[in-house]
Amino acid sequence: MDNDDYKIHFDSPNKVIISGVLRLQSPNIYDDLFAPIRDTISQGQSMTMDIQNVSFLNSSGITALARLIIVARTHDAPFFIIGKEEIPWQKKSIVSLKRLWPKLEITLT
Amino acid sequence: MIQSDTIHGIYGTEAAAPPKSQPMHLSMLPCDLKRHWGRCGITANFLATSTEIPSPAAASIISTVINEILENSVKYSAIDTKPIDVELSIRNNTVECEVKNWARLEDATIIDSYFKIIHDKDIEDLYFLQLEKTATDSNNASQIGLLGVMHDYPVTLGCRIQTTADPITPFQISVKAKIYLNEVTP
Repeated sequence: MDNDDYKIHFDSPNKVIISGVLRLQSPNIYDDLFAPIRDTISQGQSMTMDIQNVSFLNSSGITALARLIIVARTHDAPFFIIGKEEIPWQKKSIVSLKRLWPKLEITLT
Repeated sequence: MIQSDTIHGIYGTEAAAPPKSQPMHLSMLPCDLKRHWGRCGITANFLATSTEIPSPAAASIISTVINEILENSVKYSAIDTKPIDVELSIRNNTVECEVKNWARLEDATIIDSYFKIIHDKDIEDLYFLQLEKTATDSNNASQIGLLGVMHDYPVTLGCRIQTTADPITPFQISVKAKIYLNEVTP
C-alpha cells in the first residue's frame, strides 16, 4: 500500500515495514490502512511493525496504533515495534504506549 | 454558558518578552485544508523550518505541535470559507504558535470543556484514560491531539474563546502553544 507520503510493505504476514509521513485525517482512515495487521493479531499471531523510517505520525495515527495494541492485548498476540531513537515523536510517544500493555515490546535503534 | 472572553492556560499569564524577529502569519481556508488534508502537515513543516530553530529535533517537535493545533482548528471550524489564522513567533528560548478559527456554540463549548479538564487534572492519567477510551471505541475523533502535545513535549497550552458579532459563527477560538526550546533534547 503506497502513497506519495508513505509506504506500507509486508515483509511477511507477520512483519510490516512502514515509512514516510502519516498525518491522516482520522483514526478510522488509519484503521482501514492497518486492517491486515489487525487481522493477523486478531488470530493471536505475532506482529512486528518496523516504523524506523516514519518521520511523523499524528494523534489520529497514535490512536490507531493504540487500537492495534489493545487488539494484541485482547488476543495476547506478541507485538513488537521497532523504532528509531533519533526521531522525536517515536522517542516520546511510542515508548509511553507500553503503559497500555506492558507485554508490548518496543525497540528503539 | 461561555463568557464573552474566556481564557484557559497560558493566556493572560505570559510575560511580554519581545519576539526575536517579526512573527510569521499565514491565513488559510478550512475548506482547502479539509479537501487537501496534507496541507496541515506541509504548513507545519514550513513554519517549523522557516525560523531559527536550533536543531532538527526541535524542528520536528515544533512541526508536530503546530500540526496538532492546526488539525484541531480545522476540525472545529464551522464555516469552510472563514479563515484559519496562524501566527508563529520566536522569543527567548521559546517558540509560540497561535491558531485562530471561527466556531459555532457547540464547538466552542467542546473546546471550553476540553481545556477546563486538561488544566484541572493530571495530564499523565488523563492522557492514558483518553487513549484507552478512544482505542476501545470506534469514535472517529481521537481527542488526544492536544493532550498528547502536553504529555509528550515541553509545551504549555492556552485557549481563548471570544464572542463575535457574527450570528453564524458567534465565537472565535484561539489556541496557543508555547514550546520550550531549552528543554528539547537533541
